Amino acid sequence: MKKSLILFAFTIILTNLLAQNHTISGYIKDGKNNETLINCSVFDGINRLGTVSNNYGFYSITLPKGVVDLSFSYVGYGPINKRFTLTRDTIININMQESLELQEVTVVANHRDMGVKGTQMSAIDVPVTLIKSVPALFGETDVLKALQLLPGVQAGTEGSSGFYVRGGGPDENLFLLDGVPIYNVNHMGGFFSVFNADALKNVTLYKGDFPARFGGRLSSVVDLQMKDGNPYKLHGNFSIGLISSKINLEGPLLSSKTTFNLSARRTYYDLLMQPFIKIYSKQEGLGNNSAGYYFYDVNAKITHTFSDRDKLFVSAYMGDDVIYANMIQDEYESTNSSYESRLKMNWNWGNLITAIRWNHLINNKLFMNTTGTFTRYRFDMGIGVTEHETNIDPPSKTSTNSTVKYNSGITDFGLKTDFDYSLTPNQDVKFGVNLSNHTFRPGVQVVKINTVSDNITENNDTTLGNANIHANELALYIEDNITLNSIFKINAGLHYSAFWVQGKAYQSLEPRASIRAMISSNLSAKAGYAVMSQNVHLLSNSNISLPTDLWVPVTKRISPMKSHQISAGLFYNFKNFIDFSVEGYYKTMKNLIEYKDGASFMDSGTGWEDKVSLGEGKSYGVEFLAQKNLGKTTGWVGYTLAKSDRLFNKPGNELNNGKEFPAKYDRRHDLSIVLSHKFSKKIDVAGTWIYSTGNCGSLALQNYYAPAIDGYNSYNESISHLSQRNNYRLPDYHRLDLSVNFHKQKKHGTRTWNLSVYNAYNQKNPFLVYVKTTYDSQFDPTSNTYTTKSKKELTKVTIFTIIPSISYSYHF
Amino acid sequence: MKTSIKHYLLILIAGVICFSCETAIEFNGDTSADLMVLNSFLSPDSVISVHLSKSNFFLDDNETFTLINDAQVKLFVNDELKETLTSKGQGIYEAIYLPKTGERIKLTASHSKYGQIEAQTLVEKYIRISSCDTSSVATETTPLVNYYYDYERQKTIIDTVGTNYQNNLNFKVNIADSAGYKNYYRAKVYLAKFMKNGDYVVTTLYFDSNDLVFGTAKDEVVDENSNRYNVFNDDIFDGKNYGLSLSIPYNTYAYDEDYEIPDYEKPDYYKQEIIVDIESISKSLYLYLKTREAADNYIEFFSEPVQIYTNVENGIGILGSKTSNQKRVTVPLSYEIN
Repeated sequence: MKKSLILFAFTIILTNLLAQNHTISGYIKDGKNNETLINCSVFDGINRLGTVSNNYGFYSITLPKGVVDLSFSYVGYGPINKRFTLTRDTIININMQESLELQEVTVVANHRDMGVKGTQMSAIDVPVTLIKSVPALFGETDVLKALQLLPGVQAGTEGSSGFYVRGGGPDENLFLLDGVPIYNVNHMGGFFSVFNADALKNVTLYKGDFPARFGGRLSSVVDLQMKDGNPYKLHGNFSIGLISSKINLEGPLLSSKTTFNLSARRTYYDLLMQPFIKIYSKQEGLGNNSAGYYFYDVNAKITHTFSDRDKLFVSAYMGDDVIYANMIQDEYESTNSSYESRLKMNWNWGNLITAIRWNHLINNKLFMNTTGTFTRYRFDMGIGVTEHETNIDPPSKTSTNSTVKYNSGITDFGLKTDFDYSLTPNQDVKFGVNLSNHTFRPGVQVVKINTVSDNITENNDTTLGNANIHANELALYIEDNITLNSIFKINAGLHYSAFWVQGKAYQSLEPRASIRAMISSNLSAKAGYAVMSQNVHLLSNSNISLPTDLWVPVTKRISPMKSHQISAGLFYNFKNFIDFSVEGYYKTMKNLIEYKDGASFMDSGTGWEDKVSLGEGKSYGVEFLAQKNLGKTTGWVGYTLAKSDRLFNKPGNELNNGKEFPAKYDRRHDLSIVLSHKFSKKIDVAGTWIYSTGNCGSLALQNYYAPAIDGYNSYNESISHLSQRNNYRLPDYHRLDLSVNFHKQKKHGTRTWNLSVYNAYNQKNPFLVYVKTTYDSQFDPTSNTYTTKSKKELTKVTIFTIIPSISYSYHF
Repeated sequence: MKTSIKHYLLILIAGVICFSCETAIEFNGDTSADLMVLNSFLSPDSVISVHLSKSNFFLDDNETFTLINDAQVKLFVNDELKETLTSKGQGIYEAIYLPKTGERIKLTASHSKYGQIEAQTLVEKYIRISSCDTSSVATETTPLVNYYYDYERQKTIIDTVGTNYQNNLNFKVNIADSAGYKNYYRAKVYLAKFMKNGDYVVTTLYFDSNDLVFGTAKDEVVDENSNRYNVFNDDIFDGKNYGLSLSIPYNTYAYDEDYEIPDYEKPDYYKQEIIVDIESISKSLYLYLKTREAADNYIEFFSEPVQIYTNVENGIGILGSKTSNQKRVTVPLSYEIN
């Protein structure tokens, strides 16, 4: 059987090599702004062969000598046909024009590689125009929240940009910004993501069936591409919203060969609050006080085109969340003494990433992309308390300066080279190598206390925490996209990774394969299999993202996580009008980590291996998606039926008494409806409605008497009985968001007023649930005593009720 | 200052919650019936005492627990019925039989309303503490200061009367672990004082330890109560002799020659001993204490919820055993140990 397969593959390759073939290659761009178009379809109607443009807009297709009838198509753009006789290798650069008929279209999953005809499944391309049209919390466009509306992706708690794909954890997603991994994807505790939609060109989500070029995470890959910049003219837009303002500029730099794209945003709630804090402090006689929180991010990219063969890109992202305070905590003054305590606090956390990339066309069949990357996430925290105490009798003067500094983070340097090779008319090969060096800083705390008391100085300086951990990683991959005939197309690949840490090497060989069978011209069936492994973990306790969340590598004791996923689905296109898909998946995972009972990682990764258990998990489900891509009314309906369980039963690693329990974000039903309608060039509206089964939680349903522990009395005489982890399900979640845009053409551009309402019918969705005890004291005049009665109620906390917002933007 | 990170993170979360709204909701989960609760810790050659009570539904406003005095509690030793325990009131039942090491003890409790529950445990064997070596290390020296108010000069006088030496008394307790059997231990340290008035007073001492057996999961800035019950197992020394390291802080004082020590500062005991007790405990008690400790350290919102270990079938509670293994060390009177 194995020999037959090899012979079969060899015959196909040989047949193609011996034929007289020529290669057509080039770049496909948007004719208006010169942005390269990713995954644009190129199809020869005569030979029935096709390909798609890569992440840099480059395509290469090798065809037999003779007449070819090439069509270039990209939804939202008018198709371009080129019919000619192919006699030699040819370069054709294509400038696609937005179709007047189709320009009102919003599109999801439009591309041929992922639609009915492609082999890729469990992946969705989400255009940035669509992301911007989805109504958002405080009117703040959010990439991750738009992705949460797709089937198979679940949000975390209310309002957060938590990301749980097909039963996986929040740390099992690889976010790549221009090919560079980004570790902390959240601002403001996860209520906003770090990705500024103004800076982005394209967003692709892979939920399974991962191409071999990706590795390092179990559950998903979110591949985000930044815009290159317009080479012809300076363009831009700015917007002013309720919580932030943004600006985006793009254009040529000195010449049309060099372009730039710059986006920046900053929240300004803290600036607005400063006058009120100052007035309040003055009124209360508290001196100078200031405090606030803000976040900002900046995306920048410069692209230089040397020739059709060589391009250089330099891109960077920098973003931080900052909390600061300088305020009096306590003060008093008497005839004999005075005291003042002042708090100074400065927390900074965020990412810095940079990439320098060189695109080189070695020949018209072989495209090379080499990238040097740097990514760093860091959390620096400083808290200081200064106390001054003066006493007249006995005369004494004491000053104490206490500071706690905490630093943690992760820094990566990487170098990777990717090749796209158009081997034969039926075969495209991708291969590459990726080297990374990681430095994990798992939390170092420095506590300094300096006391000067009556000229006697005492210094205490304590440093706690682990030393940095260094790790090196190598990844190699090869993937082959083979068109067997007009019915069958295969993508097969192999991803190899090696991870060296603490003197130990972990190696992983991960086969990936997917197959497409065309049942009819608009109906196909696909199946895929992928193995993934993951060498890093995120230690986090709370349901929202905190800056103290800590990335740690696998260790001698904690082996890499591994998953196997099989998926299969049917894809149907109805008259180029509506796409339907149904996909089923079954995923098993091993070496998952879960926190042991009571474990907390609030501020330290010290000894984290003792706080986690290793176990297994499985998740399975069915995802339905119906999407309308064309016309004035567009949108989609997505539904997921899923289940995800965990089992931790290895000796010493038992959780839930070694019995299976639901995963934290196990949800049975998830439904999202996203619709937008363009009434005219002046007005468009959009709405989303979400319904999902409530999140899992652990709730102790019985309280019982506990004996004191001899010698060390715990003083607790009542303890709570939790029969099972995640035994309670919060109430179901549903929400309607609406938005309307009013556009007006001005002399130099277009202005847009956006009105949106988050949670339009004011559904009080649970952020968390707890038992609230209230006490009621009543006076009994007969006995002249007070009697106190307590009342316990299960109480849900809702963070976001109905939130209207307004923003103004101007595009020029 | 030590807990400031936790403190400020909690303020951060509290800030979020302040902007939120709360609504009482109906509990729509599977309502579980109240359960019979059995608690008992056995020791060899000691009276078996069992405590029975009833659990409360978590939304029950009643915060006191109903004691069960009308159940039938039976004792089985190595699966053989030994006796029915006698109710002593206050939910307490006692047996006449004194358990021996190595015996498997099973207790059943039957009640007309709550049905029958049962639990079993092994009475752990004694272990040998071959030696208990001590050493002392000085950690800090501070002046001894007396404050008093001088009425004539109408001011407070500060007077240095000697030196205070802070020390650590380090113990290396050598225990002989039995091979081929998973052993669980609990370390305890007591101070025994032989009082001049004839009394004998024993108090429990808190001790420090960086010994590996207690694990490395010490968040020294946050989790100050890490391993508060001092339980450990023989994972790293199964079947071998192991020197367990413990440390107790103590003070000594050197007064100036002209300082007259007041009577209340003089010791009222003539001998003091440190008792190191390495209890052999059952696996059930080990798991129970580990989960109790985790529950004690639970931080709302930031910690994983804790399932307190129970080995009571059809009910809840704990049946555990502990076997005391002690070593006594006499320490000088000049050591002030608290």
